[in-house]
Amino acid sequence: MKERAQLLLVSGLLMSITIIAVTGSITHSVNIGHHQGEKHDLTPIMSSIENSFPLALEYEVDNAAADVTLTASFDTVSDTFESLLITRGYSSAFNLTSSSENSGTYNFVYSFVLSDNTMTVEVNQSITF
Amino acid sequence: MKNTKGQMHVLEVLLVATLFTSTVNIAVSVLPTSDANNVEEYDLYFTGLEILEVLDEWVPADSSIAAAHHDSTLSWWLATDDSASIKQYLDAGLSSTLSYRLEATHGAQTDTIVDRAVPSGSVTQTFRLVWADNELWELNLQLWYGYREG
Repeated sequence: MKERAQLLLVSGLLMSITIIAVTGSITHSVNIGHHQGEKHDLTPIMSSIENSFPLALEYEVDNAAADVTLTASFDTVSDTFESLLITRGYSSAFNLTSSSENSGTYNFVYSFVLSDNTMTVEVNQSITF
Repeated sequence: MKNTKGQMHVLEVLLVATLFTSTVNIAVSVLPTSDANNVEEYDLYFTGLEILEVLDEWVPADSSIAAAHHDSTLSWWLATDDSASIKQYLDAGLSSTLSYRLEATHGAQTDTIVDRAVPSGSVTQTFRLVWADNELWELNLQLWYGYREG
């Protein structure tokens, strides 16, 4: 009787281990399956931002009223880009590190973070115009 | 005798468990998942992104034009309303099995640069932000597999 109980106990343990292993395997497979076939490349979006953001910022600064600060101009342009990108499924955040003006020459040091919810990149930039 | 029978039971359970686990592992590794993402859609999406990127990065041969349009042929053609050149470039650059429609939004205005009827089936939308003619343009390129009208 005791041996039978032991046998049942060992069998139960083995079955439990088996169930845990199978559950883990299926969960892992499902997680991988969610991303199967996906392709992620932020390069075209980054190049689009790198090309057009400085030009948009230069235009905004050149055409801003005298009392508009450089930070406000930067925020206006970054808001435009952030809202356009989010409608396309990319989240982004532009962070101004510093801005200055010296005899009509403007300098902006900033960074932007771009993400497609799987990949995230941060790019530091400095522009002078 | 009884001890041997018990051991055999344990071995049997162990064997069944191992076989079952192995079968499931092989199945989930080898068989395709029914909810796998559509690879063709990703290919279309990145084809569209990349063809617009190449045109944007393509510096016009004429240095005065390049300087006026920020070293971008795409910016130049958009600023000069040269839809014919954009269409010619996309027709040549995209596979003949693909059709497309291109729209551009700038300010409050939306222009159709290449006008083709969008089919009711699967269409992939891609985009590019371009600075042209002192405005930010949002290009919307719709791509699908199918016959390309004239």
